[in-house]
Amino acid sequence: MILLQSSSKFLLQTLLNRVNNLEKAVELDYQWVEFGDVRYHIQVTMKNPQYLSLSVSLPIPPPETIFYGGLPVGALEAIKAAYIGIVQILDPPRDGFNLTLKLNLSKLPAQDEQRQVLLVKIASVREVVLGAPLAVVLRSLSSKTVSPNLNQLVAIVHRPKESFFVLPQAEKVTVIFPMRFKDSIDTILATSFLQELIEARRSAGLQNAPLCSWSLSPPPELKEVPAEALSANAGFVTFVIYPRHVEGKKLEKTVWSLSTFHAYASYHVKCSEGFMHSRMRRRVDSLIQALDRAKPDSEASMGTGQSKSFKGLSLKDSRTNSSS
Amino acid sequence: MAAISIHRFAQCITCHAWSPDQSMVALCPNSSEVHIYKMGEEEWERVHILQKHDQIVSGIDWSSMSNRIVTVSHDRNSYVWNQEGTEWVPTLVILRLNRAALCVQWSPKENKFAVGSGAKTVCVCYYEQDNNWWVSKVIRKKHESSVTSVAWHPNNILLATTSTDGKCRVFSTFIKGVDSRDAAQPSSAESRFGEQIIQLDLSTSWAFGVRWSPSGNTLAYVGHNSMIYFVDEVGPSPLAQSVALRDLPLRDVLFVAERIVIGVGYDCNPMVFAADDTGIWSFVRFLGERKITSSNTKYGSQLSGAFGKLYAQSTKYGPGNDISDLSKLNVNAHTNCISCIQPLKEQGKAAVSQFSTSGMDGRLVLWDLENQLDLSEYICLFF
Amino acid sequence: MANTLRLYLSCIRNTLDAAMCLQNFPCQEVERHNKPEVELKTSPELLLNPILICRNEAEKCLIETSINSLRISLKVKQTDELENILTKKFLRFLSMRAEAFQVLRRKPVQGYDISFLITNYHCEELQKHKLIGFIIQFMEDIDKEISELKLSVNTRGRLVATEFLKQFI
Repeated sequence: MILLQSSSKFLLQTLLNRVNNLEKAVELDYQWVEFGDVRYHIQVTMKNPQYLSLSVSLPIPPPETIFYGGLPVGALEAIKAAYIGIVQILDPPRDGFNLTLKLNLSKLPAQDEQRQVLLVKIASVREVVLGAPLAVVLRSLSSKTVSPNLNQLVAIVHRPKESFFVLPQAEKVTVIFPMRFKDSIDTILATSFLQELIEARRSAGLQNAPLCSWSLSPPPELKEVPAEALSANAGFVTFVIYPRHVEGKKLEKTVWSLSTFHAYASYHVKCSEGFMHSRMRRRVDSLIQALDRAKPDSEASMGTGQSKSFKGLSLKDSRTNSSS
Repeated sequence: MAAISIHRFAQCITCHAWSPDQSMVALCPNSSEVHIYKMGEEEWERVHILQKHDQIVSGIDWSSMSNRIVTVSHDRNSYVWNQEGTEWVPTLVILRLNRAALCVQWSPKENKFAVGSGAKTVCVCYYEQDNNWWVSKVIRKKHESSVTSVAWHPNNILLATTSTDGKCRVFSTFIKGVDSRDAAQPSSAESRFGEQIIQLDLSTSWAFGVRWSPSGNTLAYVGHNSMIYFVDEVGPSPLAQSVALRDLPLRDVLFVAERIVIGVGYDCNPMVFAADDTGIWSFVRFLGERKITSSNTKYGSQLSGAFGKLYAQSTKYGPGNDISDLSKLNVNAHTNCISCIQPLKEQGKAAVSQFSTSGMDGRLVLWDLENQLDLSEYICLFF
Repeated sequence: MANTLRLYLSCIRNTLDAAMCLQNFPCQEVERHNKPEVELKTSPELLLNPILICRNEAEKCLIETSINSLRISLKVKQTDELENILTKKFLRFLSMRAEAFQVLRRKPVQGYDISFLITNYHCEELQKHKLIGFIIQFMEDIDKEISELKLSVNTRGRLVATEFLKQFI
């Protein structure tokens, strides 16, 4: 698995399980956390088994990010549009969460295929909520309508207290990621990965991919952003998105890829480290073997063999020889 | 072929010594024990284990007239072992040392023995009949570092020492009531116990392995700077010669005749040094360097397989003399540093034609100098 | 380049051959002790002059010898940050297995990336030429390993980056 999946596997499985056994009344109460500090909670009660309450907690937004009612811009609209007919947004949400949805599972489409699509969409709730501001911007690029905040920098949260920046312009959208890593080794590996990304973009097969660039200092687009939002130890990556990247069905995929870009990079940094470690472990073992070969045990048999081959020339014999 | 017998007794042998009739060898297998082996019909047979020390045994000497074994150890102690029946009975010698004992040698008359130590001192021990014990007299404050080797002059009075301070020294060990005045040379007889006769400051590095020639006229010792030193007329105006080696340093030396010295050390191959008619010493050759004769082709071929690989990665000797190097490696009887060389004395002969070497490879090798054609001129001259 | 490496390594090999003439030697300072003098450094006369062999500013080898022990410290080439962390990680992996390595010093001598401590006991147990061969192989391997690791980390990064960009097409 190279690419990150937009749906939460565990959430999807739980939903499927529930939907397939809707007649059985059960008590469910699960909580878990996924990458990027997104926390989930689901609850089903014996009383109303057809209802499933799903709560989502988002990473803490940094000051430059605008949240409405605890949610990113456009998130409420996106939810309503995505889960039309089966969802009820609870206000206020469950204590400690940004959003609580009450899903009526008995109202899911009867047709298998449609139902599956909707369940996957529910499992991708983080994409719908966190990607909402980006989706709004890219949708206006796709529809070639003038974005409401043209030439205005939008900060979108993607990690706890960290955001990336989107600059909607005529005919294009510039997306800028300040890349931060906690570990110094991660930082160096990530830097080398980001440089490979720029290199890869230049290869023949990827001429139509978004333009991308990397710089150690913040690009000019970010000049108005407060300095504390720009402390990036692995530099800044800029993608330029054109309408061709967001036409039709591509929009959703692009929103997801961009909003999880940092997670993708750090996932591969960790994989690289794992790969390095297993390789080094092998090399260390081979070096230990090389040192072990210096032990003369391997020639112990030779030692005894030698003394045997000198049997005819034992001490006594040699002395009689020499005195004669 | 100079090596006539090779046997591996242990992983490492620190030192060894021969019984008076040379049918037995006492050696320390790099432990606190001394093992005595007897040559049986076909194989070496372990006949005794001397257990008394609690650290590594660093020196063994077996007196040829009185059949006594003296051992010294890093545990600071020394034991004199007497054979009573089939048993070896130890007597503790109070050396009065507070550091490790490093080397030991019986004096020619076997009424004294000398111990070099890590306490930068030399102990000269003698037997006190009245009290029935061995008494130790200590030469202090002369050495600036550990005493690595001791050698008795044939006159039973002079003792040569080498030390890691790089110097070789000669002391008088005259002990009243043990030594008689008339026996010794007039000059040394006058000196008191512990008096330093001479200090030789020839080496720029640690000095090891010192011996006197059979007549006592020449002293030889080695330095870790790959040098061997020969000193004539040891006294107020000594004559010193030094021979530099192009190979690794030596650890121990042995006079096989008045004018032939065998040096052993880190090159794993005994080196022959000889003095010409004018008394100039020089390196003659490695003892194990000669071509393999038919009688030991098995040995040669066995080794070549194992050493072929090693040679492939060895650049110790520059390119150009590959063939001689290979043959040299083939005949190496020792595979690690040789740290001890002992003569196999024949009755009534001052010169030595056979000797044994042991070292860090745990092997004991017997060598015979007879039938060494190119050495025969020296040997004929002096045997 | 390969030629200068060979010269550098053969110089180290020859120096080690001469330096690795060790013997069992008990401590002069403390009763009944036997410790590597190159670590104790209490008796200056038991130490030889240290030898520094440099291939260039970034790559050097310090050989310190005493009567019963020998210390070899290496500084490995690191041209960029990635090589630097690869080297550090690799050497950390080695030091974690120090007990299996016997001759590896747990902490490198200051100013160096890795140190070996060889005592007379190692010389008794191991064959000298193979021990030296191991050190030389180690030096060759570490250079090779770091460049190969760097290459494969980069290749891997390229592949992953390409997969990411493909999504937009």
